[in-house]
Amino acid sequence: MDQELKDLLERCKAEERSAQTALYRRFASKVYATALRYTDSRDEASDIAQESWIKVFRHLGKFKEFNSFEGWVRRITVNTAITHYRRNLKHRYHDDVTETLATPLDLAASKKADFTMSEIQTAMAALPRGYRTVVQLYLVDGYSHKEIAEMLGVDVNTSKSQLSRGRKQLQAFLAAMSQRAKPQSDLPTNPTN
Amino acid sequence: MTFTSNNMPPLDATDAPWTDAEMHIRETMLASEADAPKGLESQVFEALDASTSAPQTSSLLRRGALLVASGVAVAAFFWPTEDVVMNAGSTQEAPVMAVEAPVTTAGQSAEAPAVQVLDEEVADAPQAEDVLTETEVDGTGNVNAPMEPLENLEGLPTTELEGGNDGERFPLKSEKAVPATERREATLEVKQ
Repeated sequence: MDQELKDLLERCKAEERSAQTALYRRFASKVYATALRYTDSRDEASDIAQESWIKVFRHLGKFKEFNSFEGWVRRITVNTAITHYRRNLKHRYHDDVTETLATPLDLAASKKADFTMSEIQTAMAALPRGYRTVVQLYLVDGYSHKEIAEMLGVDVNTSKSQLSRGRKQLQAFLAAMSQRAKPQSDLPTNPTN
Repeated sequence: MTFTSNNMPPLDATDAPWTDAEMHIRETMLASEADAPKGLESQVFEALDASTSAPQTSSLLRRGALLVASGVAVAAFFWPTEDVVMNAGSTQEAPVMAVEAPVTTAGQSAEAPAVQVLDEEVADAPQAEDVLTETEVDGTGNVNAPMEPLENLEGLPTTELEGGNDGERFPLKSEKAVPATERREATLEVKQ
């Protein structure tokens, strides 16, 4: 952690408003992006970000300097997002989602790493929310299945199966996008939920 | 569990290994940034101010509640003490009277035949019951005392029971016991 951030955090602990503002401006876009990953709504992402920032400022004394501050803030944001997710949950998991697509896709194309951020966001957004949440928690934010199970209030095996199904669907969407980008006449049908 | 490079999360042996695309997704999403709405900053600090003032208010309320609770606790400490004294006083009278007669009789009947003692006990029994009934009906004393005389007796301090003032407190019973003994001795003389 750089000295500038250390000083900023010390001043934030003393509840110095200018330091709090500086800290907010330094990490606001990261927090908001993390919140957006776990919701479909920008309004809800704002709510998540706001709650997260209040938690950050109120619990700053608990932050250990040997940890990554960005990682600490991200965990707070993810936890807040999951609280929102569970609060708004109507259908926890989409077990009835069609896993096989109508047209066989070239999954090898989905394994390439040349997708843009926009394409990744589109593919992730196309996942059912239950799958997407587990994929995000496991693949992106690095939570274990045990942690995910506790956070979502599900069984560990449920978390594993959700990840497995989510990954398959994600690869299918990525393959569909990469094939659609090709100048071919026999494009596969766009999978729908 | 299979551990993969690029700090990717571990996978079960049955899972397909992470693809390049998934690694790319992880890196891209972790590094992603999005412009927060302009009004969010002011909302955050307004909410922060509200949340910091709320605990201060609640802590003041908590302190006030603590003071009230401690006051109640102090009052409760003294109040039950008086209550116990009152109950003890009310419970003392009924059971002591009920027990006193046999004790007195036993002390005096050391010289008398056993039959006399039994007669006296029988004669005094209704009186003891009357005392209990009066206390029950009276309602000024502890209602529990007459209902559970044995327990109350067990709870009495021994100093009260061993006091030498029993005769003064219940002179009628003492006086009544002595002539009864004398009268029966005379009856025995007639039989001889």
